[in-house]
Amino acid sequence: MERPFKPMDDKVVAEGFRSGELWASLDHVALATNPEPSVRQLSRLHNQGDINLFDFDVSPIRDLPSHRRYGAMRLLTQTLARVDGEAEAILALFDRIGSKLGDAADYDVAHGLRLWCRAHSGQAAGLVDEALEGDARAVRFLAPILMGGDDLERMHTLARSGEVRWTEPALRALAGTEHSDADAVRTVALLKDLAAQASDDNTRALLVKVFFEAVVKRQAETLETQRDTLETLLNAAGPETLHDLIYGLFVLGSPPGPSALDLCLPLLKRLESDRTSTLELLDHVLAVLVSAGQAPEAAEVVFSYASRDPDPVALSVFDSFAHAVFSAPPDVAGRLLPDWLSRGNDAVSAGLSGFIQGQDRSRYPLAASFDPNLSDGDLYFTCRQAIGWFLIEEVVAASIVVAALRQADADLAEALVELLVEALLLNYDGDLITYLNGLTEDDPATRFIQSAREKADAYRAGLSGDWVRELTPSQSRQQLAHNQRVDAMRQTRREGRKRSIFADLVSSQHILFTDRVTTYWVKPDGSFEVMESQLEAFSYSYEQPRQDVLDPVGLSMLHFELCHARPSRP
Amino acid sequence: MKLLLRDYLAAMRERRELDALLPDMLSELGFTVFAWPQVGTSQFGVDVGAVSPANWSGGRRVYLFSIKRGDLTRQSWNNDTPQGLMPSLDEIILGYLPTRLPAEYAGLKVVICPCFGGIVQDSVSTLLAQYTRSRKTRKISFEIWDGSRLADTLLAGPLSEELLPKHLRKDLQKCVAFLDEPDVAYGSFSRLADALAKRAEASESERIRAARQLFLAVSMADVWGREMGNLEGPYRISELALLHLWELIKPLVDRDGPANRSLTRVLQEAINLHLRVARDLIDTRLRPLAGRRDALAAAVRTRDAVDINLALFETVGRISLTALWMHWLSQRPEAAADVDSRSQVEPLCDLALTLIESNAILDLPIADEQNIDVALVLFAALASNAHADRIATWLDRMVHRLDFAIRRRDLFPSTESDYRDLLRRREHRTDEDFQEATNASVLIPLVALWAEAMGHQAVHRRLASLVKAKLGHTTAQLWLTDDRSEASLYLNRDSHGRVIAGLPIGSPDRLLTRIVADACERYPEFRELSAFKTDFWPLILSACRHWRLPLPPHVFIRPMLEAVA
Repeated sequence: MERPFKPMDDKVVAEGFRSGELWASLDHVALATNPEPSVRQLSRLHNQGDINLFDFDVSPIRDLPSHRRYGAMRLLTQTLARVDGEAEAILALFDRIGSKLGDAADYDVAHGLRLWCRAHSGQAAGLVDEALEGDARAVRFLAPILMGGDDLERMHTLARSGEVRWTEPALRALAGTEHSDADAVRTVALLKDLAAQASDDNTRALLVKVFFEAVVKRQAETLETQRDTLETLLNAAGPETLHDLIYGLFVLGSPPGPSALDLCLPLLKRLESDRTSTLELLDHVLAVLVSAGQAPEAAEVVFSYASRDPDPVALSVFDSFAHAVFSAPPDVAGRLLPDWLSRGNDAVSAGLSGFIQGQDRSRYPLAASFDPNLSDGDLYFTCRQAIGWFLIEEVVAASIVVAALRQADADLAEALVELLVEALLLNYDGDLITYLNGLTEDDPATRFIQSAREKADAYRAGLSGDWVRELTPSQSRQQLAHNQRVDAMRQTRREGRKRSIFADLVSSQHILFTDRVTTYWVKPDGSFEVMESQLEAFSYSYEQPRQDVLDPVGLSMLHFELCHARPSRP
Repeated sequence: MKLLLRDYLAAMRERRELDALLPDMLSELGFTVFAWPQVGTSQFGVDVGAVSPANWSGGRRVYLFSIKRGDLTRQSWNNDTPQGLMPSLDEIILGYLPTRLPAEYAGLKVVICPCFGGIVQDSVSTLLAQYTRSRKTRKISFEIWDGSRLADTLLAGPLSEELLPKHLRKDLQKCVAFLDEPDVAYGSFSRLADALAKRAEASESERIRAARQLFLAVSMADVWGREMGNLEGPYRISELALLHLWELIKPLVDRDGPANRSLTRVLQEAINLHLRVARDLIDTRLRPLAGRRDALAAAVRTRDAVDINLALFETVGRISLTALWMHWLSQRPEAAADVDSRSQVEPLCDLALTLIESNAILDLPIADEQNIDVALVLFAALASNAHADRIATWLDRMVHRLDFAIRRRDLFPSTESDYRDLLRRREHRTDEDFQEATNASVLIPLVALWAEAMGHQAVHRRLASLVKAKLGHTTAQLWLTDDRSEASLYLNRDSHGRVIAGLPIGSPDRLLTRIVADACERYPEFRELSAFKTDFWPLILSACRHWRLPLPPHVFIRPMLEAVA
């Protein structure tokens, strides 16, 4: 929502600009949504001579928190675009801003210069000439200058120059320049030529960048029709090229066609494990693939990273992929999880619990199905893995065993029932029983489940009712244990807050009583703004496995065995 | 206090409770007791016989007590069996007086006393009055010793202000009132026992009095604990009382005489009482849960496995110790006729092992100090001589779990014994924490010793391999008594005993067994312990269990080696 602009007095603005206090006092929310009134006011003050935008202290902007700095830079660059002045002076100013604000301001500086050049195309052409004559500042800012000048011909010429100092800014400018159909055809030809000559990964990466941003972005089908071009560009792709490929696919926002996908999939598995930001982009790309019905292909990519040895990538990195898997029709997750479990890769299987919990799916059964080629032994192994790794996602684990029971012969069924009883039914009474109760009479697994339930019921009956007071810990011990649990929960809560992405973004209030809160804000005119909130309770509960209390070592051994042992036959 | 005593007396059982209390009470009042409660022999209706002192109201007279439990009802007055009060009184008049009254008291007048902890119910009071009126003669009279009279007598005797000062009475009252919070009850009893022990130092008669007062206090705790449905306090209190009583009897142990006999009698009653509490606990609470998987563990009703582990090992230790006491009792000359105790040894051992087999948490202690409970189970099984296979399986499972727990650094037996430390056992442990928590062990050499001696080679090898791989820093040790132990063992007064450290685990040629056997020969102080010399050896086990001291290998090394041979 756009926040209404609150005009500031010209005198206050001018004094603030000169003292440097202006930047901190700006309404950054209003600037983010509607900078125009401020831009007009500042440019007017400059043109009146009240302030000099070419000569001011940049330090106060540098010292702002990042979200405020963004607003200040936005105001500054948009204002400068409307201000006339010597190109030299503009270059000097942006150079000064860049050196003061460091790498974090690269985008703002380039964007500001591009805006100015676009508004002053004649002077921009002059700046290109100066760059070609060797002016260091002009060379440094050549890419945004070219972009602002919007001279495609010159970009092509420089890109073909064979000199990296011209090729690179020209390609960057090309990537950021809007293309017509005819431009796109010319640029594709340029890319093919350059790809044949490119000897380093950075140049290849730039070519891919231009391909996606200048050609594919404007017409997604081009990716499929220009598959050969892409293949040429990706020939001998290194990490930078892969990054730009993935970034290109990310920006594309839709899955590539089948032949382009065939080309990309093997490359998508080749990222290095420490390229975390690229992996995050890849995660989004894979999520798009899943949503488009290409889950098996995406899953293979994820599996390749999670099973990598050494340096496996944590499954938690693929959060969007996980979300897409569980948002897809149920059979997608139902096929994927058993398939991964059946491969017995500890690194992957160990991450699956978090994969499920991250999507809040711990309490929901899986519509599990298995590869029809799995042997009985493999099926048994998969179920052991499911129970082992999903010991605290008991409903998910049970649903995999139930699916196996539906196709099991008598011997296998007996072994599976034993597993179900020992590891799950002895431990859980809540959601698990609700799930099993929901199986219908005509479900082929029901008769086996019935037998498992009878065994578990007999066990539970043996536990119920008896309380030997003599064995109960003393009140002082109970109090100690209680205090320790409370401390542990408090610590967990603190850790949770530390890890929350919201904690840094919001201010928090602690309410001691009730669930209804009124907060007063004092407006600039002294009147009150009253905000009323109704608080909602939030809690999370889970059922602790019974054996964790009755026999924790036994449970730990069973867990370990199920996860790591591989019996050949049930 | 009187109300407390009346309720206590009313809740007492006839056998080995009221009849155990009465002779001591009479002795305290100056009576000469000549007939004691007996089991299995006809006493012609007399449970206790005594002669009153000359200064007693009515002078020297023969008092014959027929004891019944609780209130006197129409049913207990005459239920057509010899157990009814009226038949017992008839037997006294018709059988005991003519044939059994000691000749030296034949000239004295006789007072027949129906004795019961409760009251005479209205429905029977007329019958009783008619009966006594009809049987009264110049020589024979009747006195009703009901709960109220007994309470008055206790307050005039062993619990009188001069014999049990106010602050000690308070401890007694607090002990009884807090039996549902056993730690508090135990603390109060412990204070009371210490104070009585101090007073006992004054003279032999004070010693005897203190012993009787101690027994009375334990007896009250027992009855009230039963009423409250919680025997934990009575168990711990009666065990502590045994140890205190032994300290009282120790100075007289080599001397024959009335003081020794009186104290021994109190001790025997206290042992009976302790074993009765133990058996009540076992039979009513534990045995019903045997054989049901995890039932005993679930009966602890806690959210933390530490509580279950501690409680269950303590439980099997107690059962095994009870078995050993029964074994001892069955071999005592005075208990030769008591077939009951002999026949209980094997079922108790079986129960301990059945509980172990049906509660898997008993496959591995959480604290090294639980070695005492493990040792008691092993020793008791040896005494019952029938469970070698089950013991071998248990040791196998224990070492299997120990191996897993140590390698995973989770839930392994730790040298920590503080409850708070045990609760924190699953928190992240650094190498330093792990080394500290496993820097010493009695449990490991104990298991290794039994496995080695009993020829469980696989268990022994696995343990040796674990020690070699992961526990090189652990000082394997066993604890022996020394020349200071006689003074400190029973009441845990000071540091005492000796540790045989650096024991080899996994060496060939039964080196561990040979070293331990040699140490037992080299350091014979164990055989000088008064309880051992006088053949009250289970007291040593009780002391070790009570104060959480390891069982000295002297106790089991010989029977263990003999069993192997």
